[in-house]
Amino acid sequence: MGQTILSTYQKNRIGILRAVPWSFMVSRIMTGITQIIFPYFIFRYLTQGNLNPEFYAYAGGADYMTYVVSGSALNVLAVATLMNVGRVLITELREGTLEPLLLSPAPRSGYFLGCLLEQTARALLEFGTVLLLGGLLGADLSRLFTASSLLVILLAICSFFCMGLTLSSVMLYTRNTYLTQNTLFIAMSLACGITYPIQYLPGWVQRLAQIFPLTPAVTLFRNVVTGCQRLSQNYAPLLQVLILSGIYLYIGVVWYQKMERKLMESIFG
Amino acid sequence: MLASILSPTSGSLTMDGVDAIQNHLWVKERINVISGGERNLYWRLTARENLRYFGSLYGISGPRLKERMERLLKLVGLEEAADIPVERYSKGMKQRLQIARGLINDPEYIFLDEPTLGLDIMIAKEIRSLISDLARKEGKGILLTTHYIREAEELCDYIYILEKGEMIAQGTSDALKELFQKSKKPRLIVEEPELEEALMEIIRQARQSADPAKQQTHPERGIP
Amino acid sequence: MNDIKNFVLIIKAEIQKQQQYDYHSPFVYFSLLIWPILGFFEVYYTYQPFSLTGYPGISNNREFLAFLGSGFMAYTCFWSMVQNAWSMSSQERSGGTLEIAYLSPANRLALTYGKALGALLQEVWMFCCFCVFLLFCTGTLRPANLFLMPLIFLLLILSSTLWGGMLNAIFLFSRDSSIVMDVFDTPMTLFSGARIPVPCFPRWARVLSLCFPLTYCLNLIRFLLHIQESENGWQKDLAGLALCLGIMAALTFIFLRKAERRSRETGELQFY
Repeated sequence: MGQTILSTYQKNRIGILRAVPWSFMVSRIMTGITQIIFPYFIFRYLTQGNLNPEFYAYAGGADYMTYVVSGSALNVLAVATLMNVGRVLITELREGTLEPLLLSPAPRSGYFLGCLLEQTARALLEFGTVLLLGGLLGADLSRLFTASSLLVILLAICSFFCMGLTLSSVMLYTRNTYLTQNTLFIAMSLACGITYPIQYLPGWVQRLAQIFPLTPAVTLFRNVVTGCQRLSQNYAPLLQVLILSGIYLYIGVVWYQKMERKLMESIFG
Repeated sequence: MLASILSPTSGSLTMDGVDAIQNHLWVKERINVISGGERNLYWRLTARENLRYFGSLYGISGPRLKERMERLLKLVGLEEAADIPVERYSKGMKQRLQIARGLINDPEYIFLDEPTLGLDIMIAKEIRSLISDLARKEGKGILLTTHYIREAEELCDYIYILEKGEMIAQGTSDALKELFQKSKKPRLIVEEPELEEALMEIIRQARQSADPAKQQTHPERGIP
Repeated sequence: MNDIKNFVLIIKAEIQKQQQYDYHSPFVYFSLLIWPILGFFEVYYTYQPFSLTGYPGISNNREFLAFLGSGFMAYTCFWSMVQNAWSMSSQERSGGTLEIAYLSPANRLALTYGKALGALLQEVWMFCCFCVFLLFCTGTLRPANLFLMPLIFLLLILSSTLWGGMLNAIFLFSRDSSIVMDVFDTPMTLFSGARIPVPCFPRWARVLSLCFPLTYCLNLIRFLLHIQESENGWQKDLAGLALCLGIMAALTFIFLRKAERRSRETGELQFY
């Protein structure tokens, strides 16, 4: 298992270093930046900070820029992890390397964990870039480097990884990346409370948003970073993240196993 | 360079007396390139849609384009599959469509880049026959690149041998054999049938016994 | 005369090819409608934490929706050009059809504008219907001013096509040009006035907004529909748009020639 994780990590790392996907990374960072700068412009130039009273109630007392920046940064982390993990299998299929992988006895969990490990540094780089810009625009991120917030980030990455496993099967099943991933990311941007509290959304959208681990992850992250709360004071979102991770992990693994059998038949049959 | 895709860093190139480097658009009207492999086609489009599009790029339209498309589809044996997306074609069918695409502008000169690469022996023979007809019956100038020496021997009036980008020999097939024989002692050669020839005969006989009605030289029509 | 006929023939062929190739499944159309709608509502809800009373043109919900609806309709036309140019760059390169198109003597401008126009017509009509519906709901569009719609669409189609043509030409330079998509799209999103009124920007942002044809286009559309008066006056916006379009057309011509010359030296068009 360890060898599979390490080999996958090395293979991906070499490939990335030789052909850095700057375009993807820049694209995600630009999306994160747009998600910060646009509300910043409204806040600073259009309304001069004229927020309505509901916002403070919904945001738990957080200031606007810190609220927006924490959401956008975590959204960038989510999109990066989902994309990097979600696309691994379909990329292997397109490059013709899926067959050797299917033929090998290497544990698939090791393969995916190797992919996760390799991409985490890149995803955190994008996450950090957005946070840095957010800090320059006035967000208060002084509580970012506490044990609680680092634990939340780790938990969030795990939950995005589990969802990424399911997404990877979806992409393999539909043989499509662009339409699948963009529909998911746009839906997450709208529903998960990235740049505004989800309480502004209609009730049915708020309920639908709960299926994305990003929704409770963002709540947790904000409470810890802006609300100065401990993890132990946030049982509900914490439990929700863990349950959703478990569900997506289960769906991802089971679906992949079924898909692998069908793929074997179609490729080698 | 010859197909006007690249311009040379030095030297000159003329086609029918015209400077082919400066007048590359003029050259493009009169040539076409047919590659081996499965690229250079729109896979989601049908054969007819592909030919219609590429024909339009050469300024051909209306009844003239329609007539040419039908003639080419018949020439390459794709009339029955003409309205099926290319992604569902076999490799041989895609190659035949490539040939049809390469002839859409009725070029005076055709560049064929390993057109039989990866094809089965029956299809490859059909394509070689087509190429031969284009040169001998339709008078087209053809530059064929190939690693299959038999193909060069069968089709080419004149052969250039390139090694690491340098031309090391040129001549007719007989002249090149002569060149080889001059450096060797005479020897007695006992000829036996080549394996390729033997396999082709076996396949032909199997097909004939399976369907005696189809005793044509175009065994592959429609989707296999 | 023959040249014009061939030009039109190639544009027609490109439009037809794109329709057959790219827009072949219901899911594609689903995404072309759903994505802009979701994006629209994301922007709408981003404004919800704020009190907008007092700002001219968006001081109540009806005006605000009209402002956003017109902005998104125009922005989607321009955005679809960015997406299409990127898609052309990757798909046609890897499929080998780009090099075949450039092997032919087809007019390069016709190929480029044909790609842009083909994408525009396929991609935006559904979302434009949504925006027109929204503008009817807000009372901005009425039977009395419906005659303005052809003029508005002509303005949008012309501007977006020239914008798309320029982007297609830029993407010809290199297979790694996808970063260009972010460089063009993000500033256009922020500074063109599609989401935020340009007059509220600081000076440096207002200067930046002048670089985008979408800014002038939007000012003219909002003036025609009485959504917002332009602070420069419609004549200056029209002149600005004409200048932008002229510059883009010239740049397209230059880029196409340079890209093809570069490809003839390096074989770049065949790489993917």
